[in-house]
Amino acid sequence: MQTDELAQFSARAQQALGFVPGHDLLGPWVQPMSALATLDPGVALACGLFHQLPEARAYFEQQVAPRVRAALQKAGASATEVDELVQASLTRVLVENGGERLRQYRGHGTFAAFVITVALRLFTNARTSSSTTREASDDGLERLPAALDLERHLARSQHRSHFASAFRAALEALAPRQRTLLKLNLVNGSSIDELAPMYQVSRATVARWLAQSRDALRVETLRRLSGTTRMEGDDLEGLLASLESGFDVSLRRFITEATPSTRSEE
Amino acid sequence: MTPHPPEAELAELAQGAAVEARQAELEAHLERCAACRGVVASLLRALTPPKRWALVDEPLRGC
Repeated sequence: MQTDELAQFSARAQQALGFVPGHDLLGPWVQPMSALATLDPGVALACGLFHQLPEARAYFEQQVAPRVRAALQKAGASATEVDELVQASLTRVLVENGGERLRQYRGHGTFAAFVITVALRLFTNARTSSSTTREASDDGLERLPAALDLERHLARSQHRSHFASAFRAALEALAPRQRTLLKLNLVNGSSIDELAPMYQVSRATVARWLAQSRDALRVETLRRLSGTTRMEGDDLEGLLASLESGFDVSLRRFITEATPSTRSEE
Repeated sequence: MTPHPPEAELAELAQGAAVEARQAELEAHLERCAACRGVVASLLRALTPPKRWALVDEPLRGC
């Protein structure tokens, strides 16, 4: 047990608690938790919850639970679901398998983000199992060609299947990070502001990455299409014009039409 | 399809705090797994504060 990471954190937490006298105007739990925060706030809170310290539970209810509720609401959970999911998340983190999930939390990032992730996973699982109309593995980007503005040109030129396979191949030719970025941005609706912290880069860098990925996808789709079809004349010119001028517009429209529930009001 | 990563690792990834040795693997999973990508996208949304316009009613200095 001495080698257990949690036990070590717990020892540090207990030690820190012992050195903290009195209380604070804001509440008796603030001072001890503030002291623990100088070590590692997330880990200290995790330890406190694991050892069922009332201060830790109070801190969780006041500081963490509201953020979990807000995240679930943004994700589309109803008021009833939110209350149930917050409690279920806490149970999952603290109780299931002897607190196995809690031990996976290493203090990298905030404890609130960890609990929010657990809650969102529960929410996703519940939605997936309760609905037969939503596919868990639904991957919109691969189905993108069907929703593009190019539809008219493709239908007319009878090269729809060629375009779809060229698009899929072009997508596969992108680097994994480019595909992940495009999917998060185009299918899941993650904004540049949201993506920048994830990659620890500036908004401008994410914007540049996305532009490069879109360009690479468009150019490679065109290259493969022209190599696998014998399109010529008006058909090819019409398709080229659509690809060049309407690609981004079509992508955005696709997001709106294909994934209407991925973003709530903001 | 690989098993879903632990929630702790997805949270680390979303906050730019993933262990370096796991970063590429987590990103690769995210690219293939719509469920995990949905969780991370919702988490990113939750962690990003809403944009606020700066107040401009302060007097301009030097004018």
